[in-house]
Amino acid sequence: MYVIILGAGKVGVSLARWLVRAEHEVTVIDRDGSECSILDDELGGISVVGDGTEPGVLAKAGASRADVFIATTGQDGDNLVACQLVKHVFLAAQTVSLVSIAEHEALFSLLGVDFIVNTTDLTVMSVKDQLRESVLEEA
Amino acid sequence: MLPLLNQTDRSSKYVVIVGSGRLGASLAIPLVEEGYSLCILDLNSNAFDLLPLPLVEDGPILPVVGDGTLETHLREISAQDADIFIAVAGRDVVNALSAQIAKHILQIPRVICRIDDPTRNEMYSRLGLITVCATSLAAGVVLKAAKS
Repeated sequence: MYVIILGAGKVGVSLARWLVRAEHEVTVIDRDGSECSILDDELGGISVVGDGTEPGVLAKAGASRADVFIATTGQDGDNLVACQLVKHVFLAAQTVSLVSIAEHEALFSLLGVDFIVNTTDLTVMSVKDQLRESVLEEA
Repeated sequence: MLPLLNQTDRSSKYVVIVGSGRLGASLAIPLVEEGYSLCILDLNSNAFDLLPLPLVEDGPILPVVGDGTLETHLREISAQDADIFIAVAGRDVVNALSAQIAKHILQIPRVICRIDDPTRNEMYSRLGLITVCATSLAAGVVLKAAKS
C-alpha cells in the first residue's frame, strides 16, 4: 500500500515507523524541514517538506496514487482541507483524520472523511478510566 | 462570553462576516446600504479598527471577537439565523472550515467563501460553496492593464 501521512509530529512519526516496518510505501509531509530531516535519517528518504494543504505539495507527494491519506496535524482546518483535496482532486481511496475539537467530528463525517479519530475524547476517556480504576476506588 | 444578539430586534436581513481584514471591512458599508445588519467576527479586536466607526456606534454593524471555525461561537451570534454568511479571513483553510460549518451544520442559505488558491477554489465551488478567488481576479485586472 502507498500511505501518505500529513504531519511529522509524534503521531505521524509513530505511524510512519509502524507502516515502514510492515513494508508499506510511506511518504510523510511536514512544513518543518528539520523534522523531515530527522525522519529521513531514521527511515530513509520518505519525507516531503511543505504545506500539505497546498495542491502542489500533495502532487509532489504523489497523492493521486495514495491508497490511504492520514492527516495528523493538530489543526482541524488543515486536516480537513488536506483530506478534501486528496479525496476530490487527487481521488485517493481512503482518508483518515485526527480531530481535536469535538464539534468538528460531525462535520468531517458529513464531508466524507472516511475515518475520524477524536484525540481529545480519547485522551479524556483514558484519563477517566485511570481515575475510576485507581483514584476513585480508593476513595 | 460573546454578546448575544437580541433576535427580536432583527427585522432586517442578517449577514455574518468572518474576518475583519481589508476585504471583510470593505464589505461593511455596501451591505449596510443594502439594508443588512451585520455581525463581523475576528480573533483580534485590533482588526475592528478598519470598520467605519459611525456604523459600529449606531448599531447596524456589531464587531465580535470570536472564532469563525467554532460552531459554538457562531451560534452565540445567532449565525444559524443569518441570511448570508461570508468567510473572508486571511487563510483559505480558515474560510473553508468556517464556510462548511455555515453551510452543512448551520444550514445558512447563502454561503460565500474566499478561497485564493485556484485549485482549492475550483474544488470548493464544485462542492457547492460560492467561492471568490482574489488571486484570479487580481491577475485578470493586472493582465488587462498590462495589455492595454
